[in-house]
Amino acid sequence: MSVLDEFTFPFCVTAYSFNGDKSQVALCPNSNEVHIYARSGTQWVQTHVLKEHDLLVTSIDWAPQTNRIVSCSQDKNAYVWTFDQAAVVWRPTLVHLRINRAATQARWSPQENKFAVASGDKCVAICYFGEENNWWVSKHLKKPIASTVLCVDWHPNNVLIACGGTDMKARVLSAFIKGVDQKPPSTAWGERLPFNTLCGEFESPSSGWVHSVGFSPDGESLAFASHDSSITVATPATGDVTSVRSPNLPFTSLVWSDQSTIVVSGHDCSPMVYAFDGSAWRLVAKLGEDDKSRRSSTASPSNSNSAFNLFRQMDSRSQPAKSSGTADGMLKSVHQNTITELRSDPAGNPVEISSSGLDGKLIQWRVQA
Amino acid sequence: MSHRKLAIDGHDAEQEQIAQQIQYLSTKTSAEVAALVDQKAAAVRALITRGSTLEALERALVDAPYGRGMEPAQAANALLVNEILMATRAQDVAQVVAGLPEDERDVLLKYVYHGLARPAEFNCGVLLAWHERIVEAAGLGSIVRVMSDRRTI
Repeated sequence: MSVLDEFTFPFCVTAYSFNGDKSQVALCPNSNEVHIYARSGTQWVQTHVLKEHDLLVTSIDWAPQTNRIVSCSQDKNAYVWTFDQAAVVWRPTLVHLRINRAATQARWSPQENKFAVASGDKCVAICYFGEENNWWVSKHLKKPIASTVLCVDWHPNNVLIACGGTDMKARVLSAFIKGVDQKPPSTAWGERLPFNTLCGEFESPSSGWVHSVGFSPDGESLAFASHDSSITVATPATGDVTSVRSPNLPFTSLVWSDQSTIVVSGHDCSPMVYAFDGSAWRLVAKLGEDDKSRRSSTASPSNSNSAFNLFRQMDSRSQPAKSSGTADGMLKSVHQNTITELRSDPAGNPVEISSSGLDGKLIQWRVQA
Repeated sequence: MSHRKLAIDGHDAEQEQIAQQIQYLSTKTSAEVAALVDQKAAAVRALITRGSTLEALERALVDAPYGRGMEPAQAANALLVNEILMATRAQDVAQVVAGLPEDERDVLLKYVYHGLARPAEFNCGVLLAWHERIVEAAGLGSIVRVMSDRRTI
């Protein structure tokens, strides 16, 4: 469980996505722009600035194989960006979303021929490329959704999609598009799956907004994190719906590492690893907090001089003391502020995940004991 | 300025919808719920006098009445829980909290906040001591769960 790479940007990173080999990253510096950075040694160097949105960019997703970026924003629009090799520029294509509230999250499907855009318009727009019109077309998943959708995640079969939002429910719906998708093999979620079929609806024990949903790597289970500080895992094949009540602040982001490991993060600044031990999901680690090598400079609380040093530093640097931190005023976690997003590896490596935070840090982690 | 006195929550369609959803979760009528609480009360008081606080608390917290129209039952149950909290010795609080299952800790915290909101009727000093122990055991997550739960007691 360690930090593979850490870089601090001079702005809050509110949304980001790596390309397929993690040599580039697209990120949103909490504004209406998308910045592309390329790897140069241990540094990230800015190469492009994508300016097309009018309002805050809420989500970015970079398709690893087809090398296209989808970005969506509070201005109700989404753009698909394609790289023009000859002119070395990213060219935008407007997507006709037909929503009249902000877009909240965009995600490419596993086969990268469709993407989903969640929105405040009580719907999820499923977008695919209409060859005859040369235009990205969207179809809305609307029916049982009663409020803003905050998060979406695709099932590995490219047809089912999970969404969760402020109506306190996590749902699994079919996003089957005739002419684009092959008929999927039947799973525990259902057999016949025309567009907008409801395949599952789940709620956490104390309800609360659903901030993040995720299908397990085999697609058999759905996990979601909600604002009652809990994680719920539902497996339709066995009918199991189990919840873990966390003692921490609510989680806003959730990714599966492997079939029995979930990593969550949120307002507590440390990504937390939950593992299934055969009977229940348990917290096994907080990433970064057990990493002694990073903490060499900080004094232990038992050191009698640490309090003296703390006050002397506060005096000399005129800094206010911070609670629950170490002697130098830093939090014990690697991130020093809320984690905005957690992403799994674009190449599908189960032990590597990445996270971005309001402290401007972009961190790649190894999730393994 | 009459509009300032308007309780806007009553005019919110979404709130209405949520209240109805919650209503469906509890299938009993208010009279039935009140009778249940009365039944519980006798058993719980017997447990208090025997000194088995944990058992009494678990009994009182199970099926806590919530939802619209349940106000008398809710008040009765809150008083019952409060009786147990007051009857527990200060040094036993941590042990009792540790013995409670996770979901019932959250319900207990709801009752602690219910009491703290009515300082004229409840002893807030004791409630604060309970609050401290519950949060020690269940973490900040427990407070967040009480805030996000629409099933207010």
